[in-house]
Amino acid sequence: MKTLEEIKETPGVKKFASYLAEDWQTVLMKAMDVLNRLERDGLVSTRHIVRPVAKLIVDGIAEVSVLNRAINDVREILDEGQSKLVATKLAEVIVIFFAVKNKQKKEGGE
Amino acid sequence: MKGLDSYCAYPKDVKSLLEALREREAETIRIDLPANKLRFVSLEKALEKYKTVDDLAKRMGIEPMLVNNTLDNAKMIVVADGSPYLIGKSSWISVSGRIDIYGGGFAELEPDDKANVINARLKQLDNSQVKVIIVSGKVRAIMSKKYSPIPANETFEAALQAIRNRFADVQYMVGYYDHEIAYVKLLFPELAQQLTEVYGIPDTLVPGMLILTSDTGHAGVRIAACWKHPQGSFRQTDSEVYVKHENLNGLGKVLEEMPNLFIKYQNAAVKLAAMLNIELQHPAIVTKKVFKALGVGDKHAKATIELLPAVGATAYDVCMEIFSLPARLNLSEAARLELEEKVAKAINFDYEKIDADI
Repeated sequence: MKTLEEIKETPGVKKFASYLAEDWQTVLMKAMDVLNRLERDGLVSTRHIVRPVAKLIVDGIAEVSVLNRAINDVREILDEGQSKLVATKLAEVIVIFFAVKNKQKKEGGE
Repeated sequence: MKGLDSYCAYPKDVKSLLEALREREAETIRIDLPANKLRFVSLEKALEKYKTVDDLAKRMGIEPMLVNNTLDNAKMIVVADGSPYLIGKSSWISVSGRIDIYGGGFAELEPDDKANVINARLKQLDNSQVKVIIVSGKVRAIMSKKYSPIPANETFEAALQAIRNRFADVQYMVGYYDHEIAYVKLLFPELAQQLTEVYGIPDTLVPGMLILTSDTGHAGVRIAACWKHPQGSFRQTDSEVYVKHENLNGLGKVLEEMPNLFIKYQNAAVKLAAMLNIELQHPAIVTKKVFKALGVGDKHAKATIELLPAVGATAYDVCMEIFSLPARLNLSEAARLELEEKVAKAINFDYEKIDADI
């Protein structure tokens, strides 16, 4: 699993970076962008994942329970059997969710 | 004395400035009436009737010193719907500057003749509505009714609150007001290190803002991002909000645009995430409106609309497609940077409100 710091340096994340944003918010926005694009392109329905995770970014609290639910929801979509493109994109999203969750757990002392 | 034409003040802090502007507003009368209900009279002529300055001042309910001050400057009274008011120097410059007579000889005329020329012009305007603004005993502005000036104290209170909410540490540098304009220069010393880093400039500069306005027709509302240089100069950047006093929602527009000042100092992730949960009913119209407000051509709006999803477009979709515009065009480096600066402001629109207002 990649760390938050490693993901931060990957292509496509920088455009979401801004001075006052926390790293986890920036990186999660990348995941939101991927999920939103999949929905827009009519490939899979992701609104139910995007809504609560986007709210975490807005509220500034990376709640682990919400991230766990989001991870499960993405896995469920994957279990339905997706094209290679969709599966790759969703795997990218799961990596981000885990990185944020792990960072949060670490900072929470768990 | 406040009513004198040359009156100006440099309050010692923000609190004093706001108090002074509130007092000034309390001493302000605004009268809307048809132009043909205004009549200019030379002060000389009025004094023929009232004999002494004291008697005339008594009739007008003002201090004799203000009459003497007017004798030194505009030398004119205006009767608005039956009530006489002294003409202040600043409004006289504005009114007389609009009177153009053959050979440019207006200034050479005797006061009585000047009054006659202006009255003839007012008669031509007939029922056109004008607004007369009287502050501290004298007329400071006569303007077309299409202007709806926002009182200076309201502008300052709202803008200062918005600045404090965003930058927290706000230091007063200097403030000023007279009968034409009012301004304040503010500094954010605690944010100097962060903001100079964000903008890649020397850390000896201190960020700040200028708020300038006039509620007597001399300027619109101008709020600008500035840098105080070590030598002491306070220089404005290209980043500013300027709103004319024509729009009834002028202050709302000012506050909407203020987040664009020091635009790099923000949490873009939070703003974009919020947009993900705003599903638009009219994405195409919203896109057009945002493009118009950004000052970017309509053909680009049309091309961007084509990129939006056919159903379920969110504010995020609109904003991201606007952001992507410079990359979609074949532009020179300078033109691309200029367009990037413009479209960056797309992040600060209230898409939900724009959509709801359609």
